[in-house]
Amino acid sequence: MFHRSRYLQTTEAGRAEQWQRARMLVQIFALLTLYTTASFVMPRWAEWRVATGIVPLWPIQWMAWLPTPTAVDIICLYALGATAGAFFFVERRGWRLNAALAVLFLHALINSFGKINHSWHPWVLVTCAFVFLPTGPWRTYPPADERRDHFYAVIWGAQLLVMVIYTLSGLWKIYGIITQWQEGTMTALHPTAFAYQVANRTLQTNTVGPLSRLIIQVPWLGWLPYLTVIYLETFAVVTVWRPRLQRLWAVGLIGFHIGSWLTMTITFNAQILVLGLLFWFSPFVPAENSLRQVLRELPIVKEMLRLVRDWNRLHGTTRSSQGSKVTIQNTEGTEEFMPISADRRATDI
Amino acid sequence: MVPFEKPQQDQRPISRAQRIQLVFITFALLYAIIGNYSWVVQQREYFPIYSWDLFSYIPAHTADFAIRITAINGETLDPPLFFNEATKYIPAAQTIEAFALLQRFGNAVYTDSTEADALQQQFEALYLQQLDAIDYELVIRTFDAIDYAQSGTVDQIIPLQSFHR
Repeated sequence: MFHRSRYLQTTEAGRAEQWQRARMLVQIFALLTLYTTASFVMPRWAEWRVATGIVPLWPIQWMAWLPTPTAVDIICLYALGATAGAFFFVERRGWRLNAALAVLFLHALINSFGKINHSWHPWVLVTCAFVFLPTGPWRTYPPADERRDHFYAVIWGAQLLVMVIYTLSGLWKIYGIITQWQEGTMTALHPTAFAYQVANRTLQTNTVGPLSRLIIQVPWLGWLPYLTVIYLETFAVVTVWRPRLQRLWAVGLIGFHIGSWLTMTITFNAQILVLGLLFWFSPFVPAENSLRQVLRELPIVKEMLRLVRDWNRLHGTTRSSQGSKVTIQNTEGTEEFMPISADRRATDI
Repeated sequence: MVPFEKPQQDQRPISRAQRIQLVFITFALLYAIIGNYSWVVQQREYFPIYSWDLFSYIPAHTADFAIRITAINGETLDPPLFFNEATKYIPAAQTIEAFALLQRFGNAVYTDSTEADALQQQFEALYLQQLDAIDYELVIRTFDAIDYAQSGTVDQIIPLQSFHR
């Protein structure tokens, strides 16, 4: 589950940088939470106070007991105060807990106008996950092993929650492919599939992104990117266990969100920030991370390589295993054996 | 004499970090189960839990509910305007929130659901309140999305119900 050797940097300098990176990640997240909360609250506070048609989601159903302006004031003030407190006192769990509750209330309010938008769900989840970080001080280095592992385990957990969301989205798309294929209708594998998604979205909102018309007029342009997105989404959760892939997935999924805006005017700013922080800025990416190593870790590719290696091993010698064989000459003759390090476990780390 | 030696087991207790990870894995599994169960079986969401069934199907030949506005503030519109074209009168007409609420409202009317009145009130309170008067009809449109986006061709428009506010 959590192989310390896989997640810890190998050198002392690397481990110090890793710890600093992990701490900074949480501090930057707290700053962004304060900033985004203020940018949500300040322009809309007055509008929310007089809004009609609010159907409160479960976290803010207590709004029904109070006049709407009072309830809105409480949510906005609490959101600003708690996220500011969590930024200035990020090492204190009490403040982080308050910030998580405040962010939950605020986004429940934002989504209580007839439709639940999903772009801020990961942010809410990560805010809740960070409540479990150990209480400070975090500045001491080196931290005790248990404290450091606790810290990393929470960041790992936040990564897991974010990537599970993408994997669910990918699995639904695979399910959609299977059901539409069974029905005999167009599936996501069709070259014009993405153009249909773009066209339908432009009709829903009557808005056009910078690349919408191009994709609708030249439908096959979106084919390969769309298939790539399905792959990235479906296997996103795997990257939590294969940290070498985290930066590649960060770039791929951020590119996907930028593409969604260019073609369908869908903004996922929060997800871009979360991906950048948790996966591009990830403390778990090994210091040495060549393209070859990354490619060998890709989902399906890694499994295929393992299959080929096992197949070759089963059917005698292979080029790689032959190179790893050690010959020992002793009084009883010559003996060949393969050292344990040539086993597949060595490539897992 | 002991016939078999008891195999040695790893007696190390599970660490705090591993316990935290187990909690996160359990939560992630519950998130997936609750999100999908509520979406598929109950057709609802428990914020911030969701199935993430987004853009899962290709809407090649599809249908949606739409509002066709025939008169606004006493002025007859000829030809009528679809709701998301009426930004001159309704600034939020192009938001996806309005579209999503409209689909729920349309579906409730189409299926004679008891929620229809409440959804109509919510829709009018959120998007039509600033107008003095409006005549509109709820319709179903069937279309090929690319044809519609390129040339405005709609296969069929089926009126469901007319409203005056």
